Amino acid sequence: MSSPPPFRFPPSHRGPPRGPGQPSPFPSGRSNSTPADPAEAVRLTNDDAQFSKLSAMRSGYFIDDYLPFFMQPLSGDAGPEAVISTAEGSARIDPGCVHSRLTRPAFALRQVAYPDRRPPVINRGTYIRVRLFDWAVEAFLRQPGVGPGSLQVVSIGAGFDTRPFYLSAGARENLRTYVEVDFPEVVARKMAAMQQADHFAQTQGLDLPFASVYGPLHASAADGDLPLSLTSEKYALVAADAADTAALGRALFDVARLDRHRPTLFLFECVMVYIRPAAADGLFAWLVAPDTGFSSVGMLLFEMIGGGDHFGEMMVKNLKSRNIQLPGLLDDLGAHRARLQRAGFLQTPSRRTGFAGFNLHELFARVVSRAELRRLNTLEPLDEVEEWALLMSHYVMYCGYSEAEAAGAKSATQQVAHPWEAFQQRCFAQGCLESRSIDRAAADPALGPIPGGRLPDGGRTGGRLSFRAPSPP
Amino acid sequence: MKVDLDECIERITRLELLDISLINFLCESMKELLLREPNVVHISAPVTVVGDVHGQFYDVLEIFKVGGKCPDTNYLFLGDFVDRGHHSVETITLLMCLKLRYPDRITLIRGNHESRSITQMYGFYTECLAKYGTAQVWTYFTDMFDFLSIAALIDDRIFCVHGGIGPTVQTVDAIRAIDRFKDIPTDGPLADIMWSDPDPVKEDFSVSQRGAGFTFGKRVVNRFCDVNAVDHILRAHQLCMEGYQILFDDRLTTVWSAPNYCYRCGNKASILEVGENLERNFNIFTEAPESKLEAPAIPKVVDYFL
Repeated sequence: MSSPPPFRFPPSHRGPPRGPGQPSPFPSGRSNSTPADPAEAVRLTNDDAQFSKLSAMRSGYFIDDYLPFFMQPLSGDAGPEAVISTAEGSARIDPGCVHSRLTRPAFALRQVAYPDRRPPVINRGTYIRVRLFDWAVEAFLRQPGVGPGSLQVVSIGAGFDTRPFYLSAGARENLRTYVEVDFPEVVARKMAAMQQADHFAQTQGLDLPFASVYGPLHASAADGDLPLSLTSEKYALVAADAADTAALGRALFDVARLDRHRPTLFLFECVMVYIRPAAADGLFAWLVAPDTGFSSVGMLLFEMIGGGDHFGEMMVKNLKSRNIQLPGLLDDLGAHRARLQRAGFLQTPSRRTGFAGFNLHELFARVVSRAELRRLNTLEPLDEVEEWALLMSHYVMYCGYSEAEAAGAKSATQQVAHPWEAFQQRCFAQGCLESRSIDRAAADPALGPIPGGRLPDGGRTGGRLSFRAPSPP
Repeated sequence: MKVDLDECIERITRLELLDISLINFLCESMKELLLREPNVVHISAPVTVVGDVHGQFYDVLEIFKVGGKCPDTNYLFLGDFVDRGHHSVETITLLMCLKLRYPDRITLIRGNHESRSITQMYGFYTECLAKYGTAQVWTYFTDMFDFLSIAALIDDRIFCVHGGIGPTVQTVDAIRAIDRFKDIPTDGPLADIMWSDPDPVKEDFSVSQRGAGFTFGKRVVNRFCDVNAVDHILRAHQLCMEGYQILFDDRLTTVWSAPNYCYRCGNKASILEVGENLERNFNIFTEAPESKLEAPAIPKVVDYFL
């Protein structure tokens, strides 16, 4: 099936106007506010991730066509009165305005200097985090030999993630449901941004950016035990506190209607570290609980580790000064593996399990192909190699899976047990991140198909640096 | 324009920014001064050598406490005054004022961060914009950077440079021959001395992970010292957890003067005191108390992935 045509605002508009008195769902201004409420501080880590992604995108690391819908223009108000009406193709670009993306293709964002630009170390790390999860989800969904509509993905603490909307067509075909779970406040903001974008597009007679991916989206307000949600045929955005397995169960099974016998991949992208260890243990145990848990479940987890050294101490201290606590912080990969074992996720008699993990420093060297590394090195010079090594070695990513033994694994389609081991290997395969390895659903017809992550140079980038590629490690 | 440099120094020490026209005037004066200085500056010992400071202003003040005030102590700064830290503007302003005030007591040579492209990525541009509301100040500073000397010789025996050496720069004369009055290119001899790193396990040159410059090994260092009749190479450019690192049988030293780099690396810093007889003494220090307590004027994220 063909991918939906890319959504384009007409040149004279700068994005959806907000109704009077409507609070903006977008991250407000700089992402470095320090809220007094620790819970709010954790919710705002979503905003931090958004700004990091925006910075990485503007520096040319990857393209995320949906990210601008969740960002407000940095230069201030973008209400209808700020509309720029110009001749076709000659719209003035306000350097601070993210929505210039909508008046010009993505290369307009390729600017060298602007406020909130993250240092190259952060841009590069954001790149690897985003792309590895992209790759893993694609690898999971595009497994050979699975029937259409048979696989499930659950993203815990998804925030303003845009991944479900730019999955490739092939991936979406095998998808049964993609569920995103986060706190009610975050879900409310995300819903509002999505609905605003779709509503505005509708008033302009354009394709709806979000509804066109998975079909019409139905919003449900919170009602008693039923949480706030936005659902459609293959997608659900549901409010729940992941530390509360009863609420999570309602979200996943009652609202998102997951089938616990379908192979399901859970994504924990920098989220468990904010949860109390006891609750985290409870969640992992709940995933594989006999009779109520998932019979075939995998997980991909990314977060920081303490490392037992001064850098880790400084990290805890620095984040504490922003009121961000890390109650679930573990020392190293071994501690993560041990936790999964204690929870019964790994090395349980009646289940086939596996675990493979790396720290991000070794993972980067492993998964980025030489061609892709050459491309990255043309974007920004990595001046502090030592700092990169320090920072990245304090983050880990791992894949674990737990599947009830073949005899017990009831599958509606009577398939053989899913090759989780093959998935795990494909996840972290050497050189798996190529510029072209992920089909992007939204290709810009004006520019021709854009390979994932490459930005054409329309001559407006203003002084591109080109550095020699380093020799491979 | 009559300017009281002592007053400027006093004001900037209190983190009171100098206004734009004054910065312009000072940068112009600095360019005139630097125009008369050679690529390779000759310095007499004793002198205290300082590595990267990267806009960590309170730690720069700490250096003057620990090493002695300028001009009571002679100083050689090995570049990388700006980027990464919260106070690049104050740092370069102070160092520039000190150079103008005591031109024979303090030497500033250029680092790879004294460049237009790098400062747009690593924070100096953003800081100028935030503190002055215009990028004009950044233009004044980066124009001035083009005039900085690029190496130094202490008593003709100790060779000092920001990064290191490259295959096209095997002699001090080759450095003297460089046309330095331009932005640092991405390759060539000027890039090499700004970007290169020693490699303790190698013998010769190899490609650098940084994407510019080279790595150089023991044979290169020995040959350089022999050919140029120097005893030692002093450089900065690389983070050292202990504040300094000595390599190649005491023929090369890295000095790193930004403690707890980027407010997160938790490293020590050092300054190197070179005595009258060229004896070398490391003075190690950690971050200034104010660096720990400060609430930056521009709220700045200490970056992690969250």
